[in-house]
Amino acid sequence: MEKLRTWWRGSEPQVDKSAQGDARQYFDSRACGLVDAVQSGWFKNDSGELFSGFPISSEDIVLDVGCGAGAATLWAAKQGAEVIFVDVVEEKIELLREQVQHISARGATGIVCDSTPLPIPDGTASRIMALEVLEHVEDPAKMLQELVRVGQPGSLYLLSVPDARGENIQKTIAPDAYFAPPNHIHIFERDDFARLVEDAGLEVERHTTYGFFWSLWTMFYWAWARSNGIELRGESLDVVNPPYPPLLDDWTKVWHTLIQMPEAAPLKHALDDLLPKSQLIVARKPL
Amino acid sequence: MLGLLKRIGRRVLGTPVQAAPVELPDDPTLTDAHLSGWFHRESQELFEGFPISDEDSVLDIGCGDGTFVRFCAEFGAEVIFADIDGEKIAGVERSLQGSRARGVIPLVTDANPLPLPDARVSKVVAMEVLEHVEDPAQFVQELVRVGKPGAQYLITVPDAVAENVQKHLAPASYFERPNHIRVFQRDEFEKLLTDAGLIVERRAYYGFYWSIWWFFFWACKQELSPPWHPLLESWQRTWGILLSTPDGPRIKKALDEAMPKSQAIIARKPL
Repeated sequence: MEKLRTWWRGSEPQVDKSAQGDARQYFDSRACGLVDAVQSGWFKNDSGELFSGFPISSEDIVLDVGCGAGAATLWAAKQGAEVIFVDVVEEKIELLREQVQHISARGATGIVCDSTPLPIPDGTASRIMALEVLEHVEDPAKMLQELVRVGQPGSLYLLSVPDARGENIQKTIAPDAYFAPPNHIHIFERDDFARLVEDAGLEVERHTTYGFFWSLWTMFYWAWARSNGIELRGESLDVVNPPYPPLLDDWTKVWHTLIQMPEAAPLKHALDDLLPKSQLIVARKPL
Repeated sequence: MLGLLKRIGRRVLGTPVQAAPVELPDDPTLTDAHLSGWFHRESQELFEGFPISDEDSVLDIGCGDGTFVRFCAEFGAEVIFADIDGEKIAGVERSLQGSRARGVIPLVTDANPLPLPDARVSKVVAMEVLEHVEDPAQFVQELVRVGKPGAQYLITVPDAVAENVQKHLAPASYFERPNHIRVFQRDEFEKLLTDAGLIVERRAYYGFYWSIWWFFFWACKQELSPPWHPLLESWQRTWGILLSTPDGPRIKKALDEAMPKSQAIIARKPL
């Protein structure tokens, strides 16, 4: 289950210092993406919410399925929760184990597996996350069932998949591998995603979208990569690091400038709805 | 698989990032318009599917500063241009001095009715006008009246997707008289024309660049004239770089369909 990982499941964003001497101001795509994400409701340190409507406290047992580099797991660990993180890539789990050790998590368990089934007893976790995972798996309903099984009654779920509108524009330009195994093999319309979650027995509490910035960024990346003769594979976005090509730096500068402006909030909101990268559901397992 | 990822990683990182300044078209907005189907001089099309020849009599209703009139004049057509603003009409008339137009007829009118006989023209252009008028159905009827049998119509209005976003961003006056008093859904726009007896030949959606430009414009709180806010300058530059890549036009098309500024219909009056 190799994945095209979203940025926030990657490592901590850092501004590339070497590029800062450049005459024109330099904006790091991932730093801008982080500011954008926080404005969308991610990483709310003040209220202890990983995402608006998804609080994590030291009393929680947090399961992160398809954890990738583990930004969500690390955030939960910093809240003092017990964390269980699962990924099919062994190296990711090892790296994360090491990082979690330095944080005051109540407990930390890394598991290498493909999640069907999870080697976890029924009713274990109070918080369950599967971020940009379901679009990769053969049978999303079956995976959700497994996630529901390991959740406590009353537990909260944070589930995200790429938004269909964003995916449909990618289709015009992305390499075929982007929509083939092990990458995105499902495109979920908003209704379909909500129904999938409800059919698994969860109650949807919040359904939202975000990431216009990344929708355009990705389109622009494909354009740049093709014009520079880079062989495109679905996976390659995972490893796109600074320095970025001028087109992406320019787009980042545009977006960074915009979202610092006080008048930008309704604009960002509208674009995040019209052409988002991802859709997110906060749901609850009934008591 | 991990090994593969790393190899790809090296490939991506190992590729020298273009250090030379990017070659930009002089005005990306012109490139964008051309890619949308506008001003195709090589085929004498004002818009793809809407050719202009010296045999045409073209009526441009709500001609503004006359960009479309001048294109038609270039190919020797008779141009009749109408606007409610007398100063604009005088300006367009001046700009046509010495042009190749075989006739130049300026009209200052609110088009209700048009001071033209029935079946006078072979081409009718109405760009971003219908959203301003009190009674669009009556307005279109008047346009149909002055067209010859077989006359071709090029009519555009703002697309509803972008307009609905503007509702949250633009000052209230944007959606009041004399500005946009109506938002047309795509099927409503088409029905308006077919109800008036026209036959639709082509529908087109374009202007993602401008949708975003306008959204940004409202956030910038600036006058609608240069100097432009750095945000708008950056956006123009970014779009120019995109269009200069081989896949830029394909991406533009996808984005134009997802979030166009305008919708256009080419239609014909039956013979």
